[in-house]
Amino acid sequence: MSLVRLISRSSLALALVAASGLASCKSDSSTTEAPPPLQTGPAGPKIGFPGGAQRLTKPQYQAAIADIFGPDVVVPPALEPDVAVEGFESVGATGAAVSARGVEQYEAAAQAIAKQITSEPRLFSRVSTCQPRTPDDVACARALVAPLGEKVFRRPLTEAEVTKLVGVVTSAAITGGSFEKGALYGISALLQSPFFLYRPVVGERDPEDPTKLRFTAYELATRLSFFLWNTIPDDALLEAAKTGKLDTHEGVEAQVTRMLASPKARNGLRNFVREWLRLGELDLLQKDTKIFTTYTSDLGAIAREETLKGFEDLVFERDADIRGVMTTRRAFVTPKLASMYQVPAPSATGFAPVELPEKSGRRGLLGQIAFLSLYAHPTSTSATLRGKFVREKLLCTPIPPPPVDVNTALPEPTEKEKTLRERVKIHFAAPTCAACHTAMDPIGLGLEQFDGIGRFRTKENGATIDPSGELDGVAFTDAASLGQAIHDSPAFPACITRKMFLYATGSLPTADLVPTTDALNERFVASGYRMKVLMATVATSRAFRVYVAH
Amino acid sequence: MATLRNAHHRSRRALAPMFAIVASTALFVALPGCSTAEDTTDPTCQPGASEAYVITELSFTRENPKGVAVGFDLDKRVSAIDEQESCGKADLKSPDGTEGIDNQLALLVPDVEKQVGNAVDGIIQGAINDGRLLIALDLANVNDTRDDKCVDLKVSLLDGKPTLGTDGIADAYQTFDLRKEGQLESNATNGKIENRTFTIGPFPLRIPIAIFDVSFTIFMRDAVVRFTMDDEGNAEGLLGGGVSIKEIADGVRTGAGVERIIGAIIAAGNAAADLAPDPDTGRCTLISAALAFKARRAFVRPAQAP
Repeated sequence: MSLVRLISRSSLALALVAASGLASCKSDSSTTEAPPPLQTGPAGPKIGFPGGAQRLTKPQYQAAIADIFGPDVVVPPALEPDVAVEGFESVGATGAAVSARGVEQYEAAAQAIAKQITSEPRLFSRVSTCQPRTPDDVACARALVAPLGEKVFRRPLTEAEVTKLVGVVTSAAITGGSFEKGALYGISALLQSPFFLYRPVVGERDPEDPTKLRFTAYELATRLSFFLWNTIPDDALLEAAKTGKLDTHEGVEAQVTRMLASPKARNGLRNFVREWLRLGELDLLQKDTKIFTTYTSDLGAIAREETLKGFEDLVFERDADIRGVMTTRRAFVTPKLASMYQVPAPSATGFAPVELPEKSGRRGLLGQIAFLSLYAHPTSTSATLRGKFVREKLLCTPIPPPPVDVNTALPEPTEKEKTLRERVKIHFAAPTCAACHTAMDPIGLGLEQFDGIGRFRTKENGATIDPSGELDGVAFTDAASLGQAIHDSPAFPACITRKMFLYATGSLPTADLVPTTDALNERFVASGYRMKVLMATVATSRAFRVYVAH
Repeated sequence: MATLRNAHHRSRRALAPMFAIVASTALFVALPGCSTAEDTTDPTCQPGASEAYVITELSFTRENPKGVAVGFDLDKRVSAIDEQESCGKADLKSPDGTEGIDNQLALLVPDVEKQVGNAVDGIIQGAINDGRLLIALDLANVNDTRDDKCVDLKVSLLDGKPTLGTDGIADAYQTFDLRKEGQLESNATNGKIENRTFTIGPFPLRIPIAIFDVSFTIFMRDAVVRFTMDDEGNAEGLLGGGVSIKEIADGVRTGAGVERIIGAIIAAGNAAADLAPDPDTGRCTLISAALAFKARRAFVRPAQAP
């Protein structure tokens, strides 16, 4: 086993043991007991955040590496996969374990990144400007690990941590014969540390409510940064933590305002939307190309970008009522998407905005290929999947999974039953099926004028499609008026608020969160449904900063 | 290997005359005064919308079975084998039994294919798919896509690289640029849509063509276009007319390397000519032709001002 591997494995193993301590400090004692004594600092924490520490998701890992070392550093794609809980990888990351395979992947990624940094002077100069007099120059090793460690761990390193890492660098430098070799091991060790891979939470007593804990300033900086930017804190945010500015509400507000004005906030919004609407799954989009001849392997990625650009436009370019995402005729299209939307391509290459024709019937999110193709089968549409999406993702109405022993296949079209509307009647015949399908299928049938890949159609198997229906007592005539009904429903903004809060905090939904999200939603509504206000409201709320220790 | 490649290249260039017929049959300029006057009182004769199609599939028609081929009655008469007006060429019947079909090219195609190989339709499809032969059929003043008494047509060449579907055919509703050479296109007026079938003609043709390394301008007379549209943006139909063998020959000779094959094709074309007899010599100067095509809705981006 090479020295690199030995050091890396050792440090990672130790680190993961430490992480498990950070991530699983749940108390078995009664919750009515007083909180245990506080102990701050990285060594031996005993206070755990409910559910455990959040592991960096893959996008967060990639963004962090880009911020630390530069966007031109290649991150190996094979990392521990993210698991969604409550529809969010960010929630699933809370208390997520790392598999044995994942440990190997993190190790390999850390080494690959460290090797890139140390083998290219252009990259290495970004993390080390010291000129070592000897390969094991302690001063240069310290000048490397201390500032780099602060970025990687998102807090200053303790003296013990610096000493340990300097030891790694100098020992490896002697063996390897150069300072760069030593740096390789030091960087690799940093990137395998749980203080990088996880967002450890130790907390401190909340001065406003001694029964609760609040995130320390550095923890809050990390929490704000991953919520609003989906990446690590910048120097200004760490400085705010260091100088105590994040200990006050005003200080937090100032940082949140600054962060939302940063271009990085677009990444935060994009990641929220990507997780909320499950747009990552578009990478796995598969369609039967004999049926959908316009399908191409890059369609999923293009469609996702269209949706994300639409949200960006509403939130950051126009700071508009987010409910407009259900009714807007403004779309961002490539020539490929333009042809699928049956509009002239506004640009010969890339994305450009276009106003969809009034008569097109295609409006907002429910008219976008990202949604229409993702929530469909490879060979056909699915009223059930599309209806379930509207219920669960847009209106926060939970739909239980089907019984395990039920046959979910629909009958094939016949001369008498050409359209899906006719064929899904079977769902309403059996009471056990009808209980859920009546909540989903009528919504999805309203979108039947869009085929399984999102192309507009008026007929199915030669029969005219009837896209009318009813949403919670509100009649709609087609997809456009269905979108309007969702736009007008109070459940829609309330659902966005709830989703945003879960995403921001990594919390599982519990009954005691309802008053919190209700209060946040009131401010969201009062703002004119402006998403930036919601993000700021969540980020500056006490619920975001304070928790009850488990 | 090089020899094979050269042979293939020669064969492709030898197809240029066939492309000339394809393109010249498809592209024409309106001839004023050859259609009936507009019915200005009809509501469909008011200014209306535009609907452009791009030809996505184009193929020669063939005689099948003997004496039967699709096409148009271009000279408005049923010609027999002994008539001088058609230079002794008997008309064909359409598959539905209509008499007087002028499509002598349908009889010639098998012989031409013997000269140039059986890849003619495939080469044409390749030219369409890679953007070298994009023909727009742009309907104007459409008030009713089912029945409209007054519809105009503009035909032009387009530039662009079509996105192909998994069926190997260009997707519908793509956007293309008007080709600069397409400035020779113009409007044809007084076409009609009847039960979703559009018909217009006859028209003469004058259009520059560039196929492989051969460039020339084609004149064609008495072209007719007819196609049926559906609700999904697809169209299917025929275009036909009289092709000037001499003008094709003159044009194609500007390209190098096709002398050997052009002679045989021109000889066959002259022998098959059945339209427009020269009053002095009595020899027919045009060969009747019909091509089948499929088209899909498209958008045409206007040419940028210089």
